[in-house]
Amino acid sequence: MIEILQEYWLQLLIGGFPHTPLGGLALTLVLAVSGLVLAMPVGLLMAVPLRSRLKPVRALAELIIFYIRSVPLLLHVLWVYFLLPAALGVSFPPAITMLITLVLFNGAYISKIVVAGIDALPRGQTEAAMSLGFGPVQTMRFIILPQALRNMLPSLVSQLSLLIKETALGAAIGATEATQTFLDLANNLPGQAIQAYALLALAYFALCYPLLLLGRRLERRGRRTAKIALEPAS
Amino acid sequence: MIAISHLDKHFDRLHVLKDISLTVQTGEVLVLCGPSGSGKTTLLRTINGLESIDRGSITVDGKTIDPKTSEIRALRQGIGFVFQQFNLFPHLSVIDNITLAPRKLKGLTREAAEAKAMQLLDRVGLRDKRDVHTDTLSGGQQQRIAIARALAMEPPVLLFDEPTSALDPEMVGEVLAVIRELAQDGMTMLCVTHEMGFARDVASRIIFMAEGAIVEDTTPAQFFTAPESARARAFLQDILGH
Ligand SMILES: Nc1ncnc2c1ncn2[C@@H]1O[C@H](COP(=O)(O)OP(=O)(O)O)[C@@H](O)[C@H]1O
Ligand SMILES: [Mg+2]
Repeated sequence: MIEILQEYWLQLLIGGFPHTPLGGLALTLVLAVSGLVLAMPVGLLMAVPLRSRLKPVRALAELIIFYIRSVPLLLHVLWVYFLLPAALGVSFPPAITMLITLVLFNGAYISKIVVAGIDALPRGQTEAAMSLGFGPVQTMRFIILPQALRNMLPSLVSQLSLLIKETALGAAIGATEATQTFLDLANNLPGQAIQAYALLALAYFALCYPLLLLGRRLERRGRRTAKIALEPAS
Repeated sequence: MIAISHLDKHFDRLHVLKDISLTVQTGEVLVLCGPSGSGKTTLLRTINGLESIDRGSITVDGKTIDPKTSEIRALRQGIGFVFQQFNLFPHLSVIDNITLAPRKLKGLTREAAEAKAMQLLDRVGLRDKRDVHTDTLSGGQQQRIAIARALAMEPPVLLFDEPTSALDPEMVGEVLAVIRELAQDGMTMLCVTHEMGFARDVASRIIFMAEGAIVEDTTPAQFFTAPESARARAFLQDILGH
C-alpha cells in the first residue's frame, strides 16, 4: 500500500490534472462542497412551495420531493446524463452532470431540513416579529431563517459527508472522481486491487470522520443553547 | 383611542369572546383580569390583529383592525405587544433586538436607532446589557428588554399579556415598576395581570372577564371594595386568598 501511495499519490489526489480536467480526491471534494453550497439555495427555494398556504401547491411539491428522495441516486445520475443533453441539445462533461444531479437530489433533502428547522422554532418568534409590524417575508428573512439556519448546521455537516460518498456514483458516468481514479489504478496494477480499494476506503473515512465529529459537536452545542432558550426564567 | 364593538370570536365550536364592547381613551390604563380561559389573551390578540374576529369591529385611532388587510402591518407598528413569554429574538444581541424594527420598518439609521435604544435601556434600567446575548439575561431582565423593544416603535398603545406571570416572584417587582412608570408618563395601556396590588394603584379601569364576556367594567376602588357580580367576588377571594 505504501508503495502505491509513494508512486501514485499525485494522481490519486488530483487525477491527470493539469493535462486532463481535475480528478481524484480533489474532484470528489470540489463536487461535494460545491454541490452542498449550490443545494442550499435550491433547498430554500424548494421549501417555499412546501410551506405554501395552498394545499394543491403543497401536495405537488411534496410529491416531487418524495419522488426525488425515493428513487436511487444512480437513476437520477443516469436521467441527467441521458436526458439533459437530449432536452437541451448540449452535452455536459461528466463532472458537471454529476454536480447538477447532486444539487437537485440534495436540494430535495435540504428543503425538508429547512422546513423542519423553521417549524421547530417557537410560534412566539413569528408573533413577536408580526406584532412589531414585520410582514411575512421580512419575518422570515430577519427572524426565522437566521435561527433556522443556525439550528440546521449539524444536519448540513452530516449532509456534506453524505455528498462525499454520493460523488462515488460519478464513476458510473466516467467522472474521474476518487472512486473512478482508484478503479483505473486497480486496473493498471494487476494483483494489487485489494490494496487500492483499501486505500480508497481509508480516503473516504479520513474525509468523513472529522465531519462526523464536527456534526456531533455542533449538535451538542445547539442542544445547550436550545435548553437555555427554553428556560429563561431562572 | 381603541373602540371595540360587538366583537364575537369562536375557536371552532368554542365561543371565546361574546359580544365584547369596550372603548379606551388616550392615557387610560386598563387592567384585564378574570379566571384562566376567560378569553383575556384572545381579546388582546385580536386588538393587535394576531387573531381574526367573526363579528363586530375593532378600531384603533379610527382605523379598522383586520388581519386580512395589508394595512395591518402599519397599524401593528402603532400597537406594542408584550408577551407572557417575552419572545426576545435569541439570535440577536440586546441592542439589535431593540433596533431591528425601527431600522427595517421605519428606515432609521443604525446610529439613530441605537441612540434611541440607549434611552430606552436607561428607562428600563439595563444600559449595561447593551451588547449581551439575550439568553444570559434573567427573566425579569428579558421582559424589560421586551418592553424596550416594543417602545422602540413609539406606539401610542401598549398591550401586556400577563407580563409577570412567567417570572420568579423576586423579579415581578422590577417589571411592574417599569410598567408603572409608563402609566405615569401617560401611555395608553391594556394589561392582563393578576397582580392586584399593581392593578389597584395603576389602573384607571378594571375589566373583569368570565367565560368570554365582560362581566364588570369599573373603577379599581369599586372593584376591590364592592364587586357587583358573584363571579368577581369569587375570583377576588380566590386570588387574594381570603
Ligand atoms: N388557538 C386556539 N385554538 C383553540 N382554542 C384556543 C386557542 N387559544 C385559546 N383557546 C381557548 O380559548 C379560551 C380562552 O383562552 P385565552 O384567551 O387564552 O384565555 P385567558 O388568557 O383568559 O386564560 C380557552 O378555553 C382556550 O383553551
Ligand atoms: Mg392568557
